[in-house]
Amino acid sequence: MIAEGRIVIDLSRNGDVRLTSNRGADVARLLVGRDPREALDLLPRLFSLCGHAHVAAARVAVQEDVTEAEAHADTSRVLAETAREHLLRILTGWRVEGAGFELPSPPVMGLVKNMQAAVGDPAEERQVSALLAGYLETHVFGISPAAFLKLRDLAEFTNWLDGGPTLAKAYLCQIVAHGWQGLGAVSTQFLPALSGAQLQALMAEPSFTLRPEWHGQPHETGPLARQSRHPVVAALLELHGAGLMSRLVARLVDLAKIPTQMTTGESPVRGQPGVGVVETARGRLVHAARQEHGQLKDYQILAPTEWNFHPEGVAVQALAGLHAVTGRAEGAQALIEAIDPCVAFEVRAA
Amino acid sequence: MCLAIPAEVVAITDDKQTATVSLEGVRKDISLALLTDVEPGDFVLIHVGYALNKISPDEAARTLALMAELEEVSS
Repeated sequence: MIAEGRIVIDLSRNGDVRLTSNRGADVARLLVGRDPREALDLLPRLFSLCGHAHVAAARVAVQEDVTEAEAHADTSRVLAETAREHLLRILTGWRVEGAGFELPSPPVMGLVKNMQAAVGDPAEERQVSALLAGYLETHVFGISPAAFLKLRDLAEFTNWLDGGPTLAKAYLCQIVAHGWQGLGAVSTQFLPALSGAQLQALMAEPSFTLRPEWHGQPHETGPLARQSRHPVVAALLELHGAGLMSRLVARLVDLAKIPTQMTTGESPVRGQPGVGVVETARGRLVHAARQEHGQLKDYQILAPTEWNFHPEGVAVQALAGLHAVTGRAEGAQALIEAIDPCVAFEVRAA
Repeated sequence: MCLAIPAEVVAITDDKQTATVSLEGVRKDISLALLTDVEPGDFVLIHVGYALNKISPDEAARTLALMAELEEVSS
């Protein structure tokens, strides 16, 4: 039976945190020996969440002559997929006690297919972007995503939070009511922008993809790392540290930027022959490939979850800080969802 | 990384909110909150207890064959 990845987190009474990760099957091994084009056909069928991100990373890594149209299509699909993943996390994970917010799921679930159908037709692509912006305004922000991005400080952020309710605002207010803004705050190190050559060297090291470290340390990747300079996120980091509220708002900022990125073509995909890098909803995804005579000789995939759920990484550090918190199991659940692993997880509190 | 493992829907509750699926012979209940128009006999991709996409039986068969191959190279 194919093992799906799964993370189990044990919280002991004395505050220790132990993370056990069963990553499931190693897809990279399935690609070795294949023609690169065949690998590009297989990848979307293997991954349910970030299939397009995997294809985009693989294309940069294995295809020598990526056309502008292909690069543009990858960018558009990855952005739609990232928006869907952020929205799925909000739809399924941001539970508000005693309030019945119903976010319609069909526009979210159809987002990637709609973009797929629109790719190559600028007017239709703009339409998908406009529909996403409208959905975000109605159901997530209560104002346009562009207006949300213009909030400049904590006073403006608090005003926004106090305005008419949406699921996102109600969830953030619930975090405030619990006094959980700084929950799991850690001194985190964001993964810097590594060059293609640096990544290739790292990916060639044995077990790097299972336990990635940079300068001997695990690093954080994802929305907080990407958006830490947004004025509201920076102010929350200053006030509450890299805890629950900073993480949740960084995800909202990341999401709010997507409709504009869809029209400007600002791409989350980069790399060079041999290594493809994509910024996904959960952080940086890397594919590294070596070819010989038109066949893949070597293939490695590094998922962002490996950085964030490293045995000494940001998730474990954040959870270790919950020792004395009332409602520790619920807090742990909220924190893990905020850091957002790409596999199922289970929290066991002693 | 989350693999896209197809599961066959064998039963659906009257309120259409929950389905029983069969995954390699193992039955489990999943939420249909994110999908509409799912019927018994359909194949869906599941993730952490939710049905995410409906796929055709052909697509499911091709993906399951790929999964079997993956199982072989991983063992």
